[in-house]
Amino acid sequence: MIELSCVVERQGETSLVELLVVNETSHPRRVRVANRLDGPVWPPRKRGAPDVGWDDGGFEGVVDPGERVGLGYACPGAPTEPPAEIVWSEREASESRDERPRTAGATSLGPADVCRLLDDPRPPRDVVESTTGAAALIADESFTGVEARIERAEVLAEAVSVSDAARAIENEGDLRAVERLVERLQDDAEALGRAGPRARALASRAETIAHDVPLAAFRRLA
Amino acid sequence: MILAVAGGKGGVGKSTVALNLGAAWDAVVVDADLAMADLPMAHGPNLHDVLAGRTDPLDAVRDWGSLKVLPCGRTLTGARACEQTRLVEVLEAVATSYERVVVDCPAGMAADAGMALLAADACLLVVTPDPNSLADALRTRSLARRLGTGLCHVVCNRAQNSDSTQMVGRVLGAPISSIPEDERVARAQAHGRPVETVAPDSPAARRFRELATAVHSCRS
Repeated sequence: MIELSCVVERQGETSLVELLVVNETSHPRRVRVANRLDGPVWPPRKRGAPDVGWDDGGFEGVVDPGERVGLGYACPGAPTEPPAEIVWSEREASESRDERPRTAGATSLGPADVCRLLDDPRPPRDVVESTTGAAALIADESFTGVEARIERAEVLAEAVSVSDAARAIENEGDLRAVERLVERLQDDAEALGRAGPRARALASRAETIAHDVPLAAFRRLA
Repeated sequence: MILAVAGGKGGVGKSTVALNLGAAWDAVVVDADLAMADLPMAHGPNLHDVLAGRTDPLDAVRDWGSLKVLPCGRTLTGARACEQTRLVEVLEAVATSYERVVVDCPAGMAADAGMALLAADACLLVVTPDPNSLADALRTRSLARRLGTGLCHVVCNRAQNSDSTQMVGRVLGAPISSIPEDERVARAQAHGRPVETVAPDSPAARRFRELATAVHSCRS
């Protein structure tokens, strides 16, 4: 079933209503939540217009199975209990989902999506201090960590079939994780190259294997 | 509960609010500004080490006076080596052990700010009387919404006029608190301390205690 919990708070001449809509069923459900305070709904707005799903009386949208959606609005009317209620809900037909508004705040984004959609804030490789980079790498990171990354890349470089490649990408997480591994190996090679015989040997392996990982093929596969 | 203290614009006082709210709310304060850490730094493992997989998150939480802090590293190498996607699981691990976590988010709208907002249960936006800070806060609110994180409160730092403060709260759509300009806050912050340690009866210290109460009521 669909559960609604509400909290209302009066601030000056305005009531602020917070809603939590939870779909405990195993199917997407379209829900209508109606305001019960004595006054119009002042909904959240985007560029001057009410946000998707909102109108003068309340909110309508789709809540996915297991999803918890937080909503909020303001109203000039005095607080009352309950401040809002579900007036109807129905199982959402899958063919109609793209035509009518989904819930505000619904997201299925994960950490990898955030990296993909937003800029990388890390300092560029060429501004990381070149004179102290090697020392910092050794202070910050054992050779064991570098060897582990080389070994992961060696597995990727051995992928000769589509199924091998798919499995290898999945073991790393996703394509972006493979790309980050290659970038990290390039950083390792650059820093280790300045750090002595064992480090130079590792640098050579890291640089070679970073080139051997078939990134172009993995990107086509993804 | 994981609360992200964000705001988009640099210099509005996110770190100051995060530190003082963390103290008043008895929360672990995590400095998630990977490239420009602001919060107290001491020897030992830090968030750079955690995100590079060298240290367990709980091993990087340390006592700092009355506070518990998970500080960030300060080297460009460390910032470059961070695996940012791990921040979500790191914050969740800290919240599982310590219940309340305040995250000092970086300025801007890059992946580091987004990752902290993604991990958070709610966000608190910091603005100042400067109109540019409101514009950046609106953009941050949009990003937070896209990532499924609601806005629970707004803080107007270095506040002056109460009418304009209330207007800012209506525009952003959340309750708003104002922290008055007080050089004791800045002086304490410069030493990595909350103002309650140097001026517990000051209006600023009272407002931070009230803010902690308000934030506590946002828990779902």
